[in-house]
Amino acid sequence: MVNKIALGGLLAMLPAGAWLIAAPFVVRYQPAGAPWTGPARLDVAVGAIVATAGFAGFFAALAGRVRELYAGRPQPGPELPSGIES
Amino acid sequence: MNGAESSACPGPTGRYVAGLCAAGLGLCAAGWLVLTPFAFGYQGRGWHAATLTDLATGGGLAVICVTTLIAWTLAWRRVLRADGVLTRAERGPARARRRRGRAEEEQGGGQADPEQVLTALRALLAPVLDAPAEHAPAVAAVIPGPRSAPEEAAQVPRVMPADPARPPVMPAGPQVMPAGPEGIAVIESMLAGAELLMTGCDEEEAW
Repeated sequence: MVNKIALGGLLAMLPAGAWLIAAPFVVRYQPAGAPWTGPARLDVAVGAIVATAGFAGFFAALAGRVRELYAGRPQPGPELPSGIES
Repeated sequence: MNGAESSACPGPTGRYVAGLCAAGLGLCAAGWLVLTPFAFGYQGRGWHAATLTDLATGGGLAVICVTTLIAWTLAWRRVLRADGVLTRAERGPARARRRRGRAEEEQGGGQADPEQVLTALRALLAPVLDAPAEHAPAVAAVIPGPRSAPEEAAQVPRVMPADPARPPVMPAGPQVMPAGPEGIAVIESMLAGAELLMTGCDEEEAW
């Protein structure tokens, strides 16, 4: 349960970052075609950082979990057939 | 898995560090978002749309990141406890700790403390150890051999007369402790061996 919450939190950072990137255009404090305002530039930059951190953190944690699962699986013995004919 | 693969793929510790770092970075970003409208001065007299967006998004992101940080910390602590790296510290008021200790003692009441056993053994053997050789008691303990069968041990006389004129007869099979100074030396060596064993067990538990 705790692991799911932890992974879910990292995954939730991705839409939060995407929202920050889109917010200037959705809320319209950055008019289309106009020069970029300070708040819009800042929100897009912070949103990109948050989305990247969430994405990288989520996949790093997921990769670690998959590695643990691979390390914990039973190793096939030499007497078991591998299924590959040589 | 070769070295390049193992460095690219995070290990069990790297997984938790990655999660904590990402959540920490998100928390910093959330704090930054909350502060910037006031720090950069684009918050005028009224509430600017960007200010509201930044405050709301920053607040939501902070809640998410704090929850994630706590979850990663708990997950890592659980793994460290399971691996035996972290031990549960004694916490709470003294009365509760005493009550817990008493309950543990009651649970493990059937197991004798080896140190207490040694102390009791010393107290029991004190008259034998302190007595001079000629006043040694006439009863000697019987030590069954390591592989002696129970019926063999039963055949051996448990009480031996300590006759100084006649040398003690050593029966074949189980080892009989000689009476007198030799017996005292054997008892002392047994006690020393038991102490060594206890020390070894403690060191093993500490590892």
